[in-house]
Amino acid sequence: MHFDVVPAFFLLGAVAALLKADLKFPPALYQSLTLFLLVAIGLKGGVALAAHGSSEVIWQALAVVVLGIVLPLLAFPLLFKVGQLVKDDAASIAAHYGSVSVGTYAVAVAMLEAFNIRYEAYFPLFVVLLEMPAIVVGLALARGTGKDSGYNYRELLHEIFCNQGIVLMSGALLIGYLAGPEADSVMPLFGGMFHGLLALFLLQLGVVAASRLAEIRLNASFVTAFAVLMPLIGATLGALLGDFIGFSVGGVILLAVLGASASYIAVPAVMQSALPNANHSLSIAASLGITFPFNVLVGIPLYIAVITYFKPLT
Amino acid sequence: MNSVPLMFSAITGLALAALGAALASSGITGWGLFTVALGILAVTFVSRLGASSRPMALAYADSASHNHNHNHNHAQQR
Repeated sequence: MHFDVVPAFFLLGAVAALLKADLKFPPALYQSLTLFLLVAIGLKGGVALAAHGSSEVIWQALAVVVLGIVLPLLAFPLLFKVGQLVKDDAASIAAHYGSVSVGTYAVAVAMLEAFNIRYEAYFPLFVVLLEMPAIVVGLALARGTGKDSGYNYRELLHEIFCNQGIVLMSGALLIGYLAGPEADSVMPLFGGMFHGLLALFLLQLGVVAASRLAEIRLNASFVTAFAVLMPLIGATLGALLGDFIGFSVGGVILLAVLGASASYIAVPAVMQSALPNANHSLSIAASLGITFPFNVLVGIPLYIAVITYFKPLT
Repeated sequence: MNSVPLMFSAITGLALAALGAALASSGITGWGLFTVALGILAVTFVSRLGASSRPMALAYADSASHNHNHNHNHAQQR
């Protein structure tokens, strides 16, 4: 029987939080683990891009950006018309679900490596690209893009392009790309310790996710259903697009995971400054309290099983 | 409480339960999706109960408050 070590730490954290166990992570450690993951993913992607990158990557990247635009456009009517949420809340949550979660991506990579499934190692490039379009679409859905939208565009562009996730991942990607094989000198840290530190990161996220669950009490049934259905829609579109682009089985799985994941680091920061009246606890509770655990514990194994059933490994 | 979001979660729960059961019984995946779908249905059921009992509770509170005022007025008249 296969046992997934990394997601098991997420469960441990969630159970500890529900039992109100004395499990305290120093905030600095959580911050450090986040920085580590962003740099490690970016660096590995950059090295792979240097080794295997071709002009085909540009077309693949464009297609991935289209996915980032389509997902919030699908989520918004569900939230606004069906869920009957306030427009700002619906737009903010739609942006979260159009963007990606680096943590979910890291778990998917760990699982693919555990199953020995090969994937396009330059995928971190797509993770970086998928962070941004949904934010822009979400803001446009909330108030339009005209002069009367009330946005401070200078501040917003700064938040979108200079947030921690984008800066560290794209910076590390560039360093890895320029360094190529010379990046091997730092790989014992960023490659060798990746799974162990990811497990610690998930332990803390389990604690945070369990504590966020209480915040959806008011819209519990709708938000729960949406936070499970939307990843499945995103995964389906991601898998279909990945297959259309011509990715390997691992690549199709990773694009499905990216489509399924919802941001809980970059997008909340932007939305808090752009849409101050939106209910930010609701978006984080949905993305971190429901969608992240769903993807880690049920979704990723499900996407792997279904995709490998229809597209067997060679 | 508006019934459209509740209908959405009930339909989503049922559809995912059917999909989860089909995938699991054909041996493609485990029963994870089916279990999650049952969770959605349970949350929907609890929300529906909460929505239907709330107006009754409010009506009871109103009538209790009305009776209290009524008795209070009677006491004053006496």
